[in-house]
Amino acid sequence: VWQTWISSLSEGLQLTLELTLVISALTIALSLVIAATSTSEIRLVAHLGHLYTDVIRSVPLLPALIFVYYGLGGQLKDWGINTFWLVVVVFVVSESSYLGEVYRAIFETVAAGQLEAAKSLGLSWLKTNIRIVIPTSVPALLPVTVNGMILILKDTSLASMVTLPELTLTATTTVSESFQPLPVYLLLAGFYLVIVLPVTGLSSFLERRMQLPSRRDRDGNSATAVPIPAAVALDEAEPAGVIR
Amino acid sequence: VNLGLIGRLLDAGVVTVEVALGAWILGSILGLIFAILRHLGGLMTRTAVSSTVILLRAVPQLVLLYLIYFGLPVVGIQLSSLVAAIIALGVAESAFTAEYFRAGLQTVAATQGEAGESLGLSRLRIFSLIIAPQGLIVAVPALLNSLIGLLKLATLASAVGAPEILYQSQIEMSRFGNLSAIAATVVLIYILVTLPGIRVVRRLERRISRMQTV
Repeated sequence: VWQTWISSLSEGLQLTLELTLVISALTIALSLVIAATSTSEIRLVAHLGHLYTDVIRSVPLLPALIFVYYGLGGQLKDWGINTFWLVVVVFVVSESSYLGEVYRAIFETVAAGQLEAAKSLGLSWLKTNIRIVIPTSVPALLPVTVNGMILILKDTSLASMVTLPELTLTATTTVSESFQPLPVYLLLAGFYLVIVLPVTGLSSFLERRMQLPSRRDRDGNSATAVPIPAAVALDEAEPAGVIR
Repeated sequence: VNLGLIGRLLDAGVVTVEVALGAWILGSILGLIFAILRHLGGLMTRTAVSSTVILLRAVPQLVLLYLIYFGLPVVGIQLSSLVAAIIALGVAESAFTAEYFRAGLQTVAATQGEAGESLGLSRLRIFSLIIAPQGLIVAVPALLNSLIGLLKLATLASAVGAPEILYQSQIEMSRFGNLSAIAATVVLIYILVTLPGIRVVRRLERRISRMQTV
């Protein structure tokens, strides 16, 4: 029996991974844009960027998914947009408000000393971000990005509520056929563990690598990471998204 | 404006708050226990605690909820949807609050513990008199954030039929079909509650981190 369960869950796993990768890529891109608004010369742009993330962060993901799916799903299907892409769009908007917020904090610290210098060199806002702020932020961005991807992967289980046959929905279907909730859901948890654990390892490796040696405390624990503010250091413990 | 609809959604919102508060209290207590065990325990305890935290953080809340609500009755533990949601969300949250407390405790300089040792204080007294009061206050903004997060996560309880705000919206949707009014009301309720919360916590965070640099 386990054999058939594992093979049916594996099919769901494939969709979960596809979802995670597509959503992550788009979320990272949008988050960079959101964070870049914070270094804008025009204060209104920075304020709008902030307002956007605060408002989007106030709305929980599951109701957003369900309302968009039942409200627009049929309409969108007529236009050739299927449930997969509907889920992707809702996720990207929601997740980028968390990751964008974390990126913003990093940008603000990194940029603090460099904005003046870039300005005196006569670089435009776009060039300042692409050439200076983003590259120098990379060490701080990497671990929080990996953490953000873990959160996205976990959140994709919510897509099961709008009939997308990813890992969690596959398990629920298996339960309704086998009437064996305990072993199937344990197996489901095991599936998530097997994917997430190596990535967690990667993220803590990156966190340690990206840290200045002198800043490690005696036990080699991560007391403080790369010069980023306390708020973000806390975030690394609780990945991308103070508020979930 | 449909006052009846707003009233029914707000009533269900009370259940959402109950789930969130219950999970928050459970998660904070468990998280504090984890952090203290990690701080004071021996190698075995520390390894056990960090493994638990890593495992809990890897599993989606929804999966944990299904395990507790649908899985546990098999071994004779039958919980109501409300209690199951509180336990699932609370246990999942404890993995995060444990990290907040730990990060907070780490902000207290090691030299302070050494100073305590040189005064002849026991490890427990060093922890309770010196480290904990300074370290735990740093975790306060993160804990408030976790409460805001749980108010949103509480909507997952609808997946097992707990009568919270999203569950009620789905009933309204199938009964009256006025989806846009329902969606607008729910989103507005959340923005009115959460947005000020986010801003207050951010201000508090700044104040506490400034307090530390002094």
